[in-house]
Amino acid sequence: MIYLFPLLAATTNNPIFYLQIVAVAACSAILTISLNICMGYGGLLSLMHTGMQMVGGYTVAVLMLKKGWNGWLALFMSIVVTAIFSIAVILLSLRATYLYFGMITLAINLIAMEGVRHGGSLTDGYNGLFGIIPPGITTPLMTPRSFYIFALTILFITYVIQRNIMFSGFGRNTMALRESSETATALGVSPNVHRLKVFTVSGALAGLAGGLLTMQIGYAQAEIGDLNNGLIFFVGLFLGGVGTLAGPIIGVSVVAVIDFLIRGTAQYRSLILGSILLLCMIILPRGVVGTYRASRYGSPQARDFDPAEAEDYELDIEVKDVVKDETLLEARDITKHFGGVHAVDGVSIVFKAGQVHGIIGPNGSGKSTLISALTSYLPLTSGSVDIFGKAAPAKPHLVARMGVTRVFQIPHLFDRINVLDNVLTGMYRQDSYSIFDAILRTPRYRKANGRSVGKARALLALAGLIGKEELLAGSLSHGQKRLLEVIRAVGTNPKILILDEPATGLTQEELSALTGLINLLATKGMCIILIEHNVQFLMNLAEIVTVLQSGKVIAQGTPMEVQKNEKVLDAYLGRADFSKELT
Amino acid sequence: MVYQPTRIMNFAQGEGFILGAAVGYLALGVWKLPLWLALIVLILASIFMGFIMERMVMLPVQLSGSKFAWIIATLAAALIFQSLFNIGFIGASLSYNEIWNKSFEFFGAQIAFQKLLVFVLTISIVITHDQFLRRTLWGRSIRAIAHNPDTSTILGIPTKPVIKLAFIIGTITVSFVGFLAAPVIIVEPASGLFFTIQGFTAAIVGGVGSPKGALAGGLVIGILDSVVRSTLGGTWGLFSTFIALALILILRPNGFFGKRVEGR
Amino acid sequence: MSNLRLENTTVAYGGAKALDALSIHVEEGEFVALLGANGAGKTTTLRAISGIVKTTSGRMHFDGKEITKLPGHRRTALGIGHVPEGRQIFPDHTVEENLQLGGFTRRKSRTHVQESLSEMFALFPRLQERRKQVAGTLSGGEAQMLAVARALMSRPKILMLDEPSLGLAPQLVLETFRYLKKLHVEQGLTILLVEQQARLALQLASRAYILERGKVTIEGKARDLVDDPRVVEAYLGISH
Repeated sequence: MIYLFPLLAATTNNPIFYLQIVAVAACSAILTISLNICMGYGGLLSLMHTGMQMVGGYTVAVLMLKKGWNGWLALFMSIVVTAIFSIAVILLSLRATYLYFGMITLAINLIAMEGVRHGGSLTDGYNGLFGIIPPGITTPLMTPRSFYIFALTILFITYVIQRNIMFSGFGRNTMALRESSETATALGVSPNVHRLKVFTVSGALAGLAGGLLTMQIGYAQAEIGDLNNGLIFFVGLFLGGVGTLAGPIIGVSVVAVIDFLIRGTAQYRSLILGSILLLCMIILPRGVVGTYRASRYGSPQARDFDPAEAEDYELDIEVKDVVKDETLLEARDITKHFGGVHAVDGVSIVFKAGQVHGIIGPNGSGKSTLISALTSYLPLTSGSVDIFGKAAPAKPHLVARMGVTRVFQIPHLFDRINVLDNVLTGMYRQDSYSIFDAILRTPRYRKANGRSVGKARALLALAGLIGKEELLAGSLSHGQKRLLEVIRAVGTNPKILILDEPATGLTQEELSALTGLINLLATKGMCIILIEHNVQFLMNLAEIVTVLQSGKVIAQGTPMEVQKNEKVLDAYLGRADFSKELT
Repeated sequence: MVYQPTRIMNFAQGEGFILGAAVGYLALGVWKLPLWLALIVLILASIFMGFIMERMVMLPVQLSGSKFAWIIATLAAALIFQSLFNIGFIGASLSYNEIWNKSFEFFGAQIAFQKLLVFVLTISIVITHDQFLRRTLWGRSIRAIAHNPDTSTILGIPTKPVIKLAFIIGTITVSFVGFLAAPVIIVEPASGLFFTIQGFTAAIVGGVGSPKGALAGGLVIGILDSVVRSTLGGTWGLFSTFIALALILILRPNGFFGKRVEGR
Repeated sequence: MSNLRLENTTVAYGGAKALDALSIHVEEGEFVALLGANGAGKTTTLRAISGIVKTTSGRMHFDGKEITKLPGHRRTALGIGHVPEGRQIFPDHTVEENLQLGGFTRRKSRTHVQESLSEMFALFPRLQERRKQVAGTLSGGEAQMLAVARALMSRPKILMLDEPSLGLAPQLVLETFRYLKKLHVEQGLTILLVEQQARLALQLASRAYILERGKVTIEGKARDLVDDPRVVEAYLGISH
């Protein structure tokens, strides 16, 4: 189809015009893809993509016109320069929250624009640089027709890069980052490092788009970085569908067509496109592609399977290097104060391998705070925590990497990707390939991926979710989602597994599956810390139960001992002597 | 003002400024209406715009589920209003005769009366705004909703109308300032986004959520701008504003007076 | 007639049912306790009644009118008062301002609001002492008082409280329950109390429901339930 188009265009009386439109659209598409990677997949708000496009363009212009560089090298440098630029921006804004990060990018965008305007002789100030013609492959200069093919080829490559990155461990981690820093951390991903990687890739692609654009239009000007232009890309992105693969391309195509149709009335362009964006957000909040995938036609189905197939997947859960009853995690007299509130008040507790250790306590007793303190999600006010005999690292993602995996109270699944990918998300750390392997799909990547997929399937079999691999995680029932999250956590090969109220909303059948899984893991040597309110469920599983109240341990023992303990009853039901005072 | 109940930073706020200038231009400059009538037109137009803006922003935000929804929605609103102004006032620069033509001497420097008027009125507006938020029931409801919409509902405070009110008041405030300032600074139909950014910068420098801060921020930015322009030359003024914005965001995200913005 | 009636009310979040065809009722002048372990659905019940959580099926009636589709803020005007979990006072407003916000639904009549304000100060003298104080600086017990007083400002026909004892020192818990009793006995206020501390709640209430996983599993007269072992089981499971 790509090759047909020029022939079609040739039938008009200005074929080059049409080719150029498509070439420019291709550049826009590349930029939109880069924005998609950053915002759609990474969840980072960026208002500087047009600025980076401008920087890429200026790099090409300056190098070619002022320094006489070869066009190919200049294009390559446009990628490098914007990558460096992106790295700098992230490093400057590590502490910024989502909104402020967006504002910083806005400021940087404006600074960049002013910067090139004041760049003196290097950038020719307000005028911009003119007269850039792309170099040819066989001829000294490229013809519009060749450029058209060149631009589309780059677009295709960019699309493949997007796809390969997003469907790899890197991509899954990126989506984890988007959902919440907590999820990412729990899977061992350092949010800051990963943010850096994502933003840099995105920025580099934006620079490439800019370099290409400058070659196509022949000039570089500050106005390219204008936010008004950026809005157009947002329209394309949202219209097509944020966070989808094909979305950017479809969106940009639609915008390009609309642009073409209204070319006579340029002043209405912003009005029309702005209105379309708003309408789109109201009618098709997920964009064209997103809405399709969410509909019955587009969404994947469960496949039929033979129950015997489940047995084919031998699960080899190995909890390495632990000895039964070995102390894995020890907390010594830890406290956590929030101002005047003593959320955790002098708790000493020991967790051993192969044990299911339950933690219960009335509302507000400090259970979740305790867990956060044990896993470094919250800094301790005093006391110490040892993990595997060593002092606990200060950063939570490092704790996760040591083999302590936490499943939160509220499901932190990636609703918009399928079940299998969700399970795979936990396994990136064990994979031995780099991002480049993923992009190029080398044999090393394929082998590692194959292993992970096999293991993921085995885990799914354990949870009774085989056959549902292709379904989007968001379409599972609540109980299935909880199970999925548990096995995703198991996939990270933890030595300690912390489950925060996993039983909420589970059916009887699902509870059995979960009980069976936990028992299995315990026999293999894993330590399981279980916070639960469903006491029936807990009491059947736990070997030892610790009871918290107001941040202190008030009882510890076997389930039966705890159930009969007067102090525990008082904690839950209220002090018996008090109720007498009321009458 | 819009930020308070909705935790939304409205990119289209600056368009209200343009509205003020536009009304001033039309009412006083073109149609030559008496001042009091012009003010009435201004208020009516602002209410109308505020209402539309609220729907344009809140509808998509409520229907979308994306966390980017409000930024994109406000950007889109900004785009739309900007192009409407552009189309309506092609090429015109929205200047009109000053309300007060006199100027007077003050410590040896000529100060136009209009500029003094702008300064004084702006401060009064900020003070009024602050008092409104702190002393009136509706103002307090706006703050309450900002803090905790569920609890506000439980107490019987209707959140949707109050949010509409916040948008409208925000637009009135901003357009009033635009009305006053138009004769003094150059206002072009397409410069809404520019003023929005100035406003953001001032708000962030001063601290979001605090009207005092916004005022202080505005003063800081204004002074910085003037100083830089006179020492380094006109075009650097803008540059310095943006660098100030970037620095503040990186080093002191809460501004000087502001309250912490929760991450979203 | 201030009776509250929930019929087969279900609240579902993406597949999980927080409330599962729940049916409860509170008659005028009653003191009813809603008990159960955490996660059983007690808070969700109150939030559904107040309208801040949408129900997926079932009907709700109050005072003879159907309120199933009525927006939250209108339910307050009808007479449903709610003291939310964690108290949720507005920390940046003063005590007096918090109370005035509580009287929002009656703002049209300044005298009424003034009267209610005086009443609240008479009931809780400590609040009067601190009327100009910023609410964020209050102690836990005072904040609890403020939250209750604030809810009372709208002159509710039924007052719902969500775990008022949470985070309070035992002495303060007693004090809180004492004035709740006073409100019920002296003013005839209908009360629906959600509590985790079952023993205390059962001392005050005339009737109680025990919730487990969004359903009512036990209901009956409070004095019968005080010694009922099933109550303990609901929290701590069956001892083998």
